[in-house]
Amino acid sequence: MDTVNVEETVLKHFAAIVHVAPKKLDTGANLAAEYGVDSLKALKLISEIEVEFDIDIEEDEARCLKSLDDVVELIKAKLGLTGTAVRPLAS
Amino acid sequence: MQKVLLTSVFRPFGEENRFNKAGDEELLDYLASRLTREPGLFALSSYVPASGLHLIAANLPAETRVLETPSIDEFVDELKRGPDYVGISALIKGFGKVAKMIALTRRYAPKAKVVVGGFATALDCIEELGPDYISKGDGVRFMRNLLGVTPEVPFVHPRMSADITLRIFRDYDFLAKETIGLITSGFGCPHACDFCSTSAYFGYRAVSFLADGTAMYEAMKGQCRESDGRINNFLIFEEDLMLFRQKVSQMGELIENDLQDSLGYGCFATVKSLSRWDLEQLVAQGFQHVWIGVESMTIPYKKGTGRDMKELFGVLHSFGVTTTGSMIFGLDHHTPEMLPLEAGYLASLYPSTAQVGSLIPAVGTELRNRLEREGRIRNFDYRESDLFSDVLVHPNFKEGDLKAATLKAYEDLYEAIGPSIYRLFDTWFSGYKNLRKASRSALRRRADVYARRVRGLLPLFLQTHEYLPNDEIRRRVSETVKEVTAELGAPTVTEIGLAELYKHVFALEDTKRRHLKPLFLEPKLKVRDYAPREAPKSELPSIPAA
Repeated sequence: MDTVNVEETVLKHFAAIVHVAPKKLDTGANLAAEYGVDSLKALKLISEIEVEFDIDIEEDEARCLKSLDDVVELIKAKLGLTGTAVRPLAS
Repeated sequence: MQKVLLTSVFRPFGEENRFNKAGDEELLDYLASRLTREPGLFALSSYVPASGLHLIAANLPAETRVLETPSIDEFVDELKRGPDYVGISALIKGFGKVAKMIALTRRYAPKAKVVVGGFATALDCIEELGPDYISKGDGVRFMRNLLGVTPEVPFVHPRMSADITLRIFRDYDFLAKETIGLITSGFGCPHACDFCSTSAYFGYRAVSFLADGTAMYEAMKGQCRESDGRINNFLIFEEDLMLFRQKVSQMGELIENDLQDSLGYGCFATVKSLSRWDLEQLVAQGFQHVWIGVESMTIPYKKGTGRDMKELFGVLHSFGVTTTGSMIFGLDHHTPEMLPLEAGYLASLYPSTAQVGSLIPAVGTELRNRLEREGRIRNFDYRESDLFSDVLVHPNFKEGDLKAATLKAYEDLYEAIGPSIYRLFDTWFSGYKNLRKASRSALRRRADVYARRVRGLLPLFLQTHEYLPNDEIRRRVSETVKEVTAELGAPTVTEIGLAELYKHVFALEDTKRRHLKPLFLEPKLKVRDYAPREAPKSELPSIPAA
């Protein structure tokens, strides 16, 4: 999986959860403020991306995810697509 | 032929992560985590199967596989076999795991329809996880309806059992375990106590599973026969069995007239329902254990009306009927000063096993609705949903106080009345003494059963005195042992050898406890296949997707 596909896949899953077309999503926006992501929607998103990318996301990592960009970055780090090891995300 | 996969949530349980809290693994052990949650080495242990899944599986017109405690990989392997339906049963605590299991199903078995059942469905937000169906309440009838057969075709009861042993004996396969059969009579409860999640979950009514006493007796007899008589002791699941007079009487007559197997049963009941029975009659007909919700010494619930609680427990024990007494801490009238008094009252009832839990405002209950209106629910984390949760805001207690008080009560009970296994031993011996010369032959047969049990436990108390909680309990145990040997004969060579073995196991486990961290072994995958149960096609309308 390449970097572009990671982003496309994340947007596809997220769009289905918040019922917004993928093209209309702002990847830098705050998930809670902009899209009403609560703990339940977050749980669903994390479950789906864990399965989709065959990765495990720990509670601390999940808590740091504030935007779709954060989500994509975390996945890329876990898949080794960033060229670096997993890095902590800013809270 | 349609294929159905029914599963519990996945393991591990003993790993703190976003699905589990530390200590969750303890909750799998029904006895050690709840009814004999006592300090020391005498606590009992029992892992109970996922009864609901087996009850459903045995009654579907489909090839059905039941998975208990699979790992994620084992669950995925099953998904790759292409089931038409995947049923996931979860408690509220397992909510996060349900989300992941639905996602896994969508990926590895995309054609399968997902059904979610169990107490997790009390959460309205379960819909947000995107299952195809939600089975709230009676899962057997729901799944039958879904698969197009009439829900009212008579049910068959699958064979289910649980082993009971001392917790410290769990890993020693050569030590004897007692196996009890598990029978489901029905679900739900009409008493409608405001805190009761079961009552609310089944819509405040009783839903029958086994139609009558004959069906109950046959389920027990069948399991006894298949085990060559080894399993003759059963726990019946029904929130208040003694409400069902005809069912219990019919089953009891068959048990009393069965001279081949001394079948016996334990059940859940209330002071209110028991007050309407002749207890001697019940005992003659196999009644041998009962769980009574004491809740509080001031008895704020209608189910506690009738005979005096203390008198009732005393009479039950005199017949050798062992008891579980359960109590709730955190009721509206409770103050910190009252809780030790409540624990003292529970100890005075001398229950064979006991449960002390915090008042849990379970989702879906009237209590929950009221406390939400009053702003008395702490931030909710589904992982905190268990008997010792501290989610209730109480004006007389700080956060953490109630949980600490419940755990302290278990310690107080242990110090005051000794280990549960001793109370069982003592109560059976009382029953033996009182019934051995009864005029009714069924009661004398019951005395023989008690004598065998007492004899079986005798070696446990011969060389373990140093591990009892205090001198007073040591004195009581010594006296009972002395009386038992006077009545039933001195220990045999085999019993003395067993006592010696137990002494060494206690010493080893005591050393391990003091020097090693507790080791938790995750439960293994259990798989059981059920052949399709033939049943006529239904003309019932299909159930709309969630």
